[in-house]
Amino acid sequence: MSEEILRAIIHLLAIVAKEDEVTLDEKASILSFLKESVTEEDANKYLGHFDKYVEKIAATDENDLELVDGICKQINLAQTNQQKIVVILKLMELIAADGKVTKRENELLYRISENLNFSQRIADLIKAFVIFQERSKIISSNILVADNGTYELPEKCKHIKVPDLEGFVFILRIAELEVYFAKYVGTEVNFLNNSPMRSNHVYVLPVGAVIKTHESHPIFYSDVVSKFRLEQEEAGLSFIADDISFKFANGNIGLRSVNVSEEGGRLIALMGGSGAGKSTLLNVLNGNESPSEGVVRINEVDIHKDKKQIEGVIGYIPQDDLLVEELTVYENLFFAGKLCFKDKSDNELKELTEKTLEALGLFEARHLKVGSPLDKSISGGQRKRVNIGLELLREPSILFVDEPTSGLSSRDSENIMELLKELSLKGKMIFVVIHQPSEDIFKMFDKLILLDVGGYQIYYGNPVQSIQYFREIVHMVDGKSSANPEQVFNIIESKVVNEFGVLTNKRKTSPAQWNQEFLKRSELAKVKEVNDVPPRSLNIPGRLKQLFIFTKRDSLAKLSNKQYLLVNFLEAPVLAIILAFIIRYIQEDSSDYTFRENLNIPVFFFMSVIVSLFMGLTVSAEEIIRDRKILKRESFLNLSRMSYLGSKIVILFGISAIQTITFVVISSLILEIKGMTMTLWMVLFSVSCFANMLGLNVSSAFKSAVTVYVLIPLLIIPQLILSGVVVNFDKLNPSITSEDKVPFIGEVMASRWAYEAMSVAQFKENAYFENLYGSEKVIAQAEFKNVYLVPRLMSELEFAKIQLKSESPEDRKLVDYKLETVRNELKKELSKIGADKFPEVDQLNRKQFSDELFEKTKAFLDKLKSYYNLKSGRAHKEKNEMLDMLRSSGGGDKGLLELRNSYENEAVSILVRNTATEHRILEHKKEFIQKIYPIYLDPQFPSHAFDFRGQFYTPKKYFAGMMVDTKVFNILVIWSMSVFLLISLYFDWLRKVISGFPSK
Amino acid sequence: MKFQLKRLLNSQTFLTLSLTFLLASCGGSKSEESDGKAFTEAEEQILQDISETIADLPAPSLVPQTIQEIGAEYNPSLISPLHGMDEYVLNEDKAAMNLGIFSSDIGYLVAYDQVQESIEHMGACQELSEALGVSSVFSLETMERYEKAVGDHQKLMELLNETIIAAEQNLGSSDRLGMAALVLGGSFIEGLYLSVAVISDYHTDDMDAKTRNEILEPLVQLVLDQKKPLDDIIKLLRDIPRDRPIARLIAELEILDLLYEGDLNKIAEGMKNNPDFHVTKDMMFDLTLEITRIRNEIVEID
Repeated sequence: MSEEILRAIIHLLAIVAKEDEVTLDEKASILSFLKESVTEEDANKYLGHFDKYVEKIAATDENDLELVDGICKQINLAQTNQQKIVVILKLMELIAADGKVTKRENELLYRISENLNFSQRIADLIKAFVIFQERSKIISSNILVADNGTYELPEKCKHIKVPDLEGFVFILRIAELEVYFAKYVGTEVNFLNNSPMRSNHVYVLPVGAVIKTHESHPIFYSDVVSKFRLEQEEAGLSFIADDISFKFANGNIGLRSVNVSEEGGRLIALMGGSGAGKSTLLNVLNGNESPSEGVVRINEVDIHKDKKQIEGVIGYIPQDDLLVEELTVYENLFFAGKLCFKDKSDNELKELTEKTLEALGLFEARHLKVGSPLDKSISGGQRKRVNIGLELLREPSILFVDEPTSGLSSRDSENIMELLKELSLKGKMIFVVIHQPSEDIFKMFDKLILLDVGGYQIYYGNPVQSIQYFREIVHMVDGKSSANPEQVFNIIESKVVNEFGVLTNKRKTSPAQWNQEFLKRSELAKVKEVNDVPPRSLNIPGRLKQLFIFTKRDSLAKLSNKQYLLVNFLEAPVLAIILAFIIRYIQEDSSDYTFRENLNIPVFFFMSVIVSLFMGLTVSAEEIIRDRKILKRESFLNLSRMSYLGSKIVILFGISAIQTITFVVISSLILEIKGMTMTLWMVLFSVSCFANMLGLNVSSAFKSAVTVYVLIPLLIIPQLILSGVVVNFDKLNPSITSEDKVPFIGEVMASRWAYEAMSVAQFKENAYFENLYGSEKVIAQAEFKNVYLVPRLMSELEFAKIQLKSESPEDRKLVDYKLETVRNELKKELSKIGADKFPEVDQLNRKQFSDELFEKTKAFLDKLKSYYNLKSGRAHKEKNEMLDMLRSSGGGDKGLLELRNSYENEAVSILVRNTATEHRILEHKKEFIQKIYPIYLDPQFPSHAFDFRGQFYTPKKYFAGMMVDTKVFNILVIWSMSVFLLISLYFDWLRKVISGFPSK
Repeated sequence: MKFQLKRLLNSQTFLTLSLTFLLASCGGSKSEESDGKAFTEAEEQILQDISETIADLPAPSLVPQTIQEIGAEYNPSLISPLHGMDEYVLNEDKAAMNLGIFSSDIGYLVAYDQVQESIEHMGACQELSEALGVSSVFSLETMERYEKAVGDHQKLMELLNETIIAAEQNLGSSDRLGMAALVLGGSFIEGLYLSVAVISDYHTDDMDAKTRNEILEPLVQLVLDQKKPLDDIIKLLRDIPRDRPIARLIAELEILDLLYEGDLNKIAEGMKNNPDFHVTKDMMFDLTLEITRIRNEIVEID
């Protein structure tokens, strides 16, 4: 209670007390109130205040009523209803301290309660409760009397029988506020939560309180509440587990014929030693696992078969933390609510969330960030409460809670359990797996299900009686009256003592024997099954809406993490600056930077692909792992995995888009790369998205972030080696290369497609060379034919001519082979110029080959040469015309030079034209492969519709009858890889593959 | 950016996809037809074979080698510098003539063991050959062979000659006789330039007539010997289709020819018939002036 409010109350008390002389009784009453609220020292201080107020009020003739109104206003501002009702109680006690209530006092009381928004009825009730000391005086359904049952009570009053209790305990319920007051009238010393209760003194009965009488028949808060609530219990909830057994995949038995039969309003404990199958039972009962035998029914609905019908009826609070650490307490609940209720408006949800927060006692902490368990901003108990809040929001009829108190202090544990108890009192059915509860917590449960090692059910019934039950079986007589669950386990697991008096590992009674005893002694109290389906507490939004909510939640979480934002958005520009600065090469003999002369541009392309891959992977690799637990809960709620993944993708792609564009813009500025921003960005963005998808797959498949980070090199290094830059595709291990194509292992690397797209686009599409590409292509192809192909064909023909008559089978084979190669190549040429130009081509075989045919072929080859020369000559002319045009359109020779220097890059040209290669023509499978000038080599003779593979740096790709520009095609290839990864992510293929391996 | 995106989407994706699809569905008959027609044209064309003429002309190494053998001192300032390269490669005529010039320069450098410079000039030749579309003759292999042969005069000279002749023949056979002729012309002009420049650079003032004669005579003889190749080149040039650079080259060479017919003829006759004839630097003045002008016009950049 704050000082301010305490002063307000003291002031009120002073006004009331002043009505007659302040008696010693009154003073004592005030002092005792103060001592309950503050330290002894402060109590005396406040008493001083009280005296001052009394004097002051006596001295002035200010209107009391007006003063009262002012003070009440102040109290209204700061206090909850529960606190205000206590103020009324204290006033009443003060008024009644002298044994009488004057008219004026009564008037004041009414005035104050009216001001504090309480009805006169409540004020009367409290007055009566404070004053009367006999059972029959108050006739109200809000009164409960606990006594030994010999005294007759008015019909309306509730009653709890406490044998041997001298006197009686009087309990008043203020129904509107769910507040309970208790007082004891009698001569014994009883204890309320271990503090002695003075006779005829009113106490507030807190949630979970215990009143202990000296005869050890405690009165539990839950008993009191259930007496009052009995009538208004939630209609119709039955939960039946009928002989359920469960076998693990490895054949071990997890549960053996367990029976549960419960109705609403119960708090049920699931206990057992470790390995007894508590969590297994919980998972079978909540529908996560299907039993191998038996059924679980809620209101006659089989929860494993007809999942849809009872959707949302069950709530599950696992042991793990399910919170989004970067969000506040409020946001966590709010988004959970949004995902559960599609019809609720944001305002309604806000109200609901706030209400839930109040119920959880978290309203004050609502704007604190949840934080990680290591970087705490809220306590462990609060965390647990927020977790419970996630389910509480939608108030499912049946709630399963796995070890809610583990790791919490005893105070926090009790708070949590009180919260659950209260829920059960509202008619919910709550199953709690609990480990070593304290005595107080143990007593809160209505039912206990005990399991023993191997999944045997060994007890089902009242928890407190369980001690008696086991004692009876082992014939143990012990006068101790405590209800410590430890005792139960001591009995169950007691060990055989050997002849030396040493404990052995062998148990006195095996689980099976306990189970036998259980079956013999207990009879299952069947509840009546309800047959209408319980109300759904879940109304999940459509997938698109979910996508939107997930995205918003994740964005908020990311935005709130300043460090994450800073690192992610600075990474790209910093890398761009470092990389571009380092490779901004200026030739030794010139002083100015020229883009054309920067030999490192291919390195830049390559590095930017690697940077994009890295950024994409690192930003995504942890995403799903972090959310694993949340994901589990969300799948329990039947939320869409696609929407979840969609939200991840939207956010990651957004980050990638920003990262890559900043990288491209900054590095292009430094390296003076012009006219490529869009191309570079498209390619790098595609690569980064690919890496995002790869990272998500890995993140979804592996269990720990460390594994994932260790894996990153494994994913990056092949991309690095097989990008076509670090190692030439022609110079790999021969078992994986193919001479006419990029090796298959290279084709599956996104880096190769990206790098090729950038290099080809840079060469072909730069503002200078795009004008010349067409004619250069003809020139280059003509050169290849005339300088490499035709001479090679000639030498093959000459070989055939000389060796034609040879008898040796090897030579014959060789001649066959060479002639076929020549034939193949000539046919290719003829397909372009028309078969009629050399009809004798088919005679080029060993049988029909002759000197005459040799001459004819030679003549044809000569013509072919002149044909290519002609083409080349024309292309030269075209090229020169184009150059002249460029000169005349932009500043003559200087302008042309400028254009060339700022758009063309020499190093890229050398690479894509492959002029540095030693083998410019290769024989492969009876064909000649052109290795020089791949950039001018269009795919010509695809063997099938999807034969898109070709050499590195080819300008176009063939696909389904179309010639697609390499840049466009390669970007599409990278995206199709990403789509594949999306499918694999959705179906979690990687995890399925990995879970095929043992995890340990 | 917006413009680029539009361009990317429009020109690339849609045009490529739709056009190629269209073309593919038409069976590409159009291009086959034109290829066939071009082939027929090529069949009917009568190609001039100039490879023999080329082989008959003096190799680029001949003049420099003679200069060195005569005992003239090395003068690095005579070599054409590389800084005009950027411009040469953008202009085929310039590329061709400067390829010729560089080839003679390389000969000069090799003759005087200036290996580093010769390799740099070889690289320049490779670039020029690329611009001319005959890069295959300056393959990596050629360059490697060249670098391996460093220190072996003879081999280097052979390689150089081989390569330049190959380039010229390559150009000739691809119906670009003009280009081949320009390379030849360039090489010839640089050879002549080197010889007259060596003569004019000699400090002969403090020599007695006899020594001077002994030194200058072989050089002058070398210049005089260029008459025949000059005539051959002019003849070759007159035979090929005439365009502007060819016509210009012919005109320049004809000026030289006139000088040969006039002053130089007199010197030649004097040297032949009169044992007391003494050559002086001044005798070459006109030729030196002209050849330097022609050469500098080729080498100079705008």
